[in-house]
Amino acid sequence: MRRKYQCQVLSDVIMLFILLSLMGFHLWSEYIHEWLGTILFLMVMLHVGLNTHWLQKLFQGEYCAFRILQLSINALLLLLFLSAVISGVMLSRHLLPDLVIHSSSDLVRKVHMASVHWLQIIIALHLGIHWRMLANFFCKIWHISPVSVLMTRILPLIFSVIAVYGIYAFMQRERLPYLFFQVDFAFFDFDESMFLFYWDFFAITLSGAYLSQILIWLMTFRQRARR
Amino acid sequence: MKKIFILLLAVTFSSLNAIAEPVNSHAQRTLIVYFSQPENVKLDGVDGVSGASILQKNGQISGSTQYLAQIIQRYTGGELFRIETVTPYPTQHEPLLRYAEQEQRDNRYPELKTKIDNLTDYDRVFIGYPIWWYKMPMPLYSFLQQHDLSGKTLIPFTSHGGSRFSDSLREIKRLQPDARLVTQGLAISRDDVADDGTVTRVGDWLNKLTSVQQ
Repeated sequence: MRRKYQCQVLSDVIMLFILLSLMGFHLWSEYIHEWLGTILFLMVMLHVGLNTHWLQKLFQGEYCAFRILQLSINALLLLLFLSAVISGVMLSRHLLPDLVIHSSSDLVRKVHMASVHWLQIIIALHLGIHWRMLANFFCKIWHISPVSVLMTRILPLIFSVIAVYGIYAFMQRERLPYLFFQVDFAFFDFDESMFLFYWDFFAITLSGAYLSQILIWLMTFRQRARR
Repeated sequence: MKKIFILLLAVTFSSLNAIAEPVNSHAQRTLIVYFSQPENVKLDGVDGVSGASILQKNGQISGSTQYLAQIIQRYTGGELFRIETVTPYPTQHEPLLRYAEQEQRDNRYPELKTKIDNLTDYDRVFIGYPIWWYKMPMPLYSFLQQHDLSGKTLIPFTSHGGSRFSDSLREIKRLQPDARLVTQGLAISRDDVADDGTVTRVGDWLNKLTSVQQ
């Protein structure tokens, strides 16, 4: 069981890395972009397959605020993922160029851009939901005490600073118009450093993760206040 | 005698200066090369806003890159050269998208109507184009392969649909390694080309360019 969980976390880390590479369409060639998309699709299938226990429990038990939040995030995730995959397949120029549904119209391109940008945010929220779980996991494998100063003060401080920077990067890179079909063709700076791109998009993801943690905190806080 | 000499010197110098000024601004003989593909859309409807590269300005219809080229010409007094292909491109938006995509996929270099023979007459070449599928349109590849722009200053400008210069600067550098490529090119969104401020914006950009170059 523990071995399986380790593999799952490892594949999640790889998935995050692929996600950032996909957002950087210009960092790799179009051909690689399509392959990475395909690999991510397969890994997501695997991810869902390994977590069927969550799906099985879907109709059991009561729904508290946290569970509703988690379910809505995952449902959104599924929808956006499907629209990103379908529009991606329609746009494909290398792997599936002559598919019957191939279309390079403005609409398909915009759907693809909007859904992947929403997807990044929702994936970040999804990550935030599991943040505590992942933190416990890394504490265990690296033998760090969860109540140490590192885990309770230093790391949260570092991550919050990165998350705030992520909001700045989101604004500075003008990501908002992408979410609302405002962009015809994405802008990619072919001269910027690859490291900076990964860093910025990692920070943006981290801000999303922190956002969902704040949401969770607000919910549990309200519940505690009620008691 | 000394006074006369100084006076003479002063006169020569000032007249030299007077001559030097216009000569200096004309010293850079300028060519403005552009590729522009106007699209047929209804200009009075919403369609014009959705970003087709057509422009109706002062009752004249032109492509948006063409319009930019004309403004640059007004400021610099350079000569205009329009890159035209033997086989014309579709004028409707979606067919044009598809056509350009297929052309890129096949890596097809379209045949150009004319070639510039007197390139030696120019020192400074403005080069303008839209961005199609994150690249320069293929006619630009044809043009850059058929002409030797070594030693000339290349100044790019584009009317784009959001992707600014995309990878085109890198491609120009690759195709013309011995040209001096100015990287502070002018990138205007095709949605903004028709704005009233565009003329002054082009002027400001040109001023900044000359101050950087001197």
